Amino acid sequence: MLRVTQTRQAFRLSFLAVLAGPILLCSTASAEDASNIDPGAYIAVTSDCVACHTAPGGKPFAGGLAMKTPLGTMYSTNITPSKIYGIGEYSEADFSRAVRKGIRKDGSNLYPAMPYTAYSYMTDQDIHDLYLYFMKSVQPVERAPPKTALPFPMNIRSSMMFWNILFRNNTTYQPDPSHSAEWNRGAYLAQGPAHCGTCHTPRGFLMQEEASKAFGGGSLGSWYAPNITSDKISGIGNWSQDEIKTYLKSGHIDGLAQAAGGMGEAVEHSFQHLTDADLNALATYLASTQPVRDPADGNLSRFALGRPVSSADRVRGDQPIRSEDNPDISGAELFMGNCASCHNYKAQGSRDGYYPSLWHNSVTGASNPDNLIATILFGVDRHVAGAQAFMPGFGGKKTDAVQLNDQEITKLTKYVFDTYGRPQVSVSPAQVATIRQGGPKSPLLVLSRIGIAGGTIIIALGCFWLLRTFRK
Amino acid sequence: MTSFRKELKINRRGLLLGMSALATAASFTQSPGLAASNGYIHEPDSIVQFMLVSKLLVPHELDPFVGHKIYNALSDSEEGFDNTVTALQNFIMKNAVVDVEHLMPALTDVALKNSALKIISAWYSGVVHGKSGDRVVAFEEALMFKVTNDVMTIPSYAKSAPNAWNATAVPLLNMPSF
Repeated sequence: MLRVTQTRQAFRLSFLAVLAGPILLCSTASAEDASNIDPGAYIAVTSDCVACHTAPGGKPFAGGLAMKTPLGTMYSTNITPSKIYGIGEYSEADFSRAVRKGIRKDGSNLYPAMPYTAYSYMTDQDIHDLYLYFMKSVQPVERAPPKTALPFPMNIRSSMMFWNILFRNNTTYQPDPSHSAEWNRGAYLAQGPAHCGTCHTPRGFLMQEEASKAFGGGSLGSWYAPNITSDKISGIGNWSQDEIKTYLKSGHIDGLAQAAGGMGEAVEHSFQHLTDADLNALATYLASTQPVRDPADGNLSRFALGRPVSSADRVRGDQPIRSEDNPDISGAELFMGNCASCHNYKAQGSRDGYYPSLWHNSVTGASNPDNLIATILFGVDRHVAGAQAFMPGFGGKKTDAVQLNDQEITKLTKYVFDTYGRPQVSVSPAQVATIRQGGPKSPLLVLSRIGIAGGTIIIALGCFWLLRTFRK
Repeated sequence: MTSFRKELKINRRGLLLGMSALATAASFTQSPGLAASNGYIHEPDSIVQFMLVSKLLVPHELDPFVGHKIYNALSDSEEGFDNTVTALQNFIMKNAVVDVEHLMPALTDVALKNSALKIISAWYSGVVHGKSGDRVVAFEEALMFKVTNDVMTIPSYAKSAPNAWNATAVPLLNMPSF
């Protein structure tokens, strides 16, 4: 769970400059029907504040969740109304500035790990309700979470000012009169509080969301947030609105897709609590998004690949399956030894759908192997409507009962793609290692240091030249 | 009239049997690579013949791979197994037997009948009983599991979520087709 949470954050966090101690955001950890609670609590749920601002096993909104980002580890802040450690001294204007502009009360910048670029679309009314909720309904927690200390030069928070000039939105959501009220509500939720694009929109070189590929799929460290545009091949254009709604509500559709990683959390903490009207609005909006096609997908949708076949009697029968200590163990043997007891020998899953089939599955049909590797490494742990969807990890955590190494996960992943999904996908032990340690590091860190070093050398040379000229 | 119909029916079934035999034979000749890649480089004719006889003895979908394994195991454990299969095949042809229900009463040769029963037993149980011990030739594909596969799972495979084994049992309906 920790890993899962980390990854979503991870990617939010992958940005530049500066953030600080206690800042804001939202929601209840509880699971009551959000429609009956106060409007601020509902917005907090919609915005999924709790996902980042609560550490595993910690008090709600007390912060302290460690998020591995391409630029270093970041910690979420205490956003309870504690006057010392939280946001107790924030006025509504301070609160609004932090949530929508990414500037905390002391004037320093937040890192865009805090999705203020999305929250900037939120209406004044919603911000007002949210503020009241945090000040009146959230219990103050008098504890400071660990401080974020990114490596130089990313620790210079003021550099975020330039990033904000380039990439921050500065106006609240403007309804489009050519669309229905429902569509506009969906667009507002998706772009604003629910911040779908924070994960699902790919990032550019400076970690900004690439508007031309909105919802086209983005990498989040270990996990990959897939294409959710209306494209019929690469996106979810073939889903019915009911399917979108069911997925958001439950995180699971037989023979189609299951939510894990950050989406598992989003369903658990946020979407399952939304009203039917809001889920319908989101589905309406998502069905209308600009299609984005990934050429790697060819003409094959990730939702309909693969078929039930069995390797069971081929790896076993007269000969016992070999020990897992055997370095020559095959992907099929690893599958039979680790996956088949739940996903079944033809990967058809359990009859009731609790264990999903691995064919006709968005993860094994994808062109990007990240989610399959991450699922094997970190497992799934999603709590929806009082029931748990669980899969153990296979080596992503030291406490996992089965510890598969990078080589084994490579073989297993390739076997699953070849047998049940998209055989064109290639997988290497290096990819597995990268996902195991939380995703690729950003080149920005190295580049910025090179830039600084280069600048220093140029200045030094300049001084040297000046000195020589002066002496003459 | 009745006998005419019966005759027609038999002819049609015989035709279907012949067609399925041809199809099976064709599938073997077309996939020598599969057989070779799995290390089975047997005389294709004997396997084809074994599968044809099996098709009549066990009127279900039969996995050719499992067929190879049963054939190999029985060849090891039974003296002159190829001859036995040929004898069965000849008996079927000569008497124009259309299904296993007609075959068994007609099969008066005890040794031949026992061999036929062994073949059937192997397909259902996935085990061949040999002289030096029993050999497992199939587990998941053993046909005995298919009879209840609409409500039960094969042992060692999950039926549902952890601790969900006590969910209300589904009523048994018609036997699944397999």
